[in-house]
Amino acid sequence: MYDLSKDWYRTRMTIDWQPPTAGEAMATFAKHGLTGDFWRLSSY
Amino acid sequence: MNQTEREIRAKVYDLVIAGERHVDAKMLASELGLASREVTSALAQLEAEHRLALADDGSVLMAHPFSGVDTGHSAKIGDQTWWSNCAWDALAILALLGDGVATCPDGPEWTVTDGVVSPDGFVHLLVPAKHFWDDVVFT
Repeated sequence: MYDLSKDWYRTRMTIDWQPPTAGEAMATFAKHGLTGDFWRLSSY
Repeated sequence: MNQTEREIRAKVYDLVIAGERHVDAKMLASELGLASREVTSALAQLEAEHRLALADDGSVLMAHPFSGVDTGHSAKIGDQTWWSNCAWDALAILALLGDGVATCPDGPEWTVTDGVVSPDGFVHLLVPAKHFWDDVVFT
């Protein structure tokens, strides 16, 4: 979860931060082994 | 997100990291030299775009991973403690700001030293990702 946080929040405090697209969010989840229906998004 | 919204959002994070817990339109307007009405409108837009979440009184409830209210979850670095929205966010504050201790009301304290978390543990998420923002407070 700590490692996921580093990726999930890495740019959050930058001035131009944009919410991730569904694909970007799922790619971040998947990088940390979080796959399946629970982590599936159509939008974010 | 326009330039005013960018500046307001950045200022929210500056204030929260510095230790402010109740950040509202009046404070932001004073800090940035803007009209409160302009700030209130910008905050509403930032919330609509899931860049912040607001409390009923219009103050900043969530500037993820930080919380504007005491949820029982927190992160501590040195003498400074920040409220977080959940266990994930308590660890996230440490991931962003540095080594420290993450505390949750019904779990262990996790200590992060040189980027390593101990002890091992579990974070139980109840809400599927596609519903994170349906009720972000519950999430």
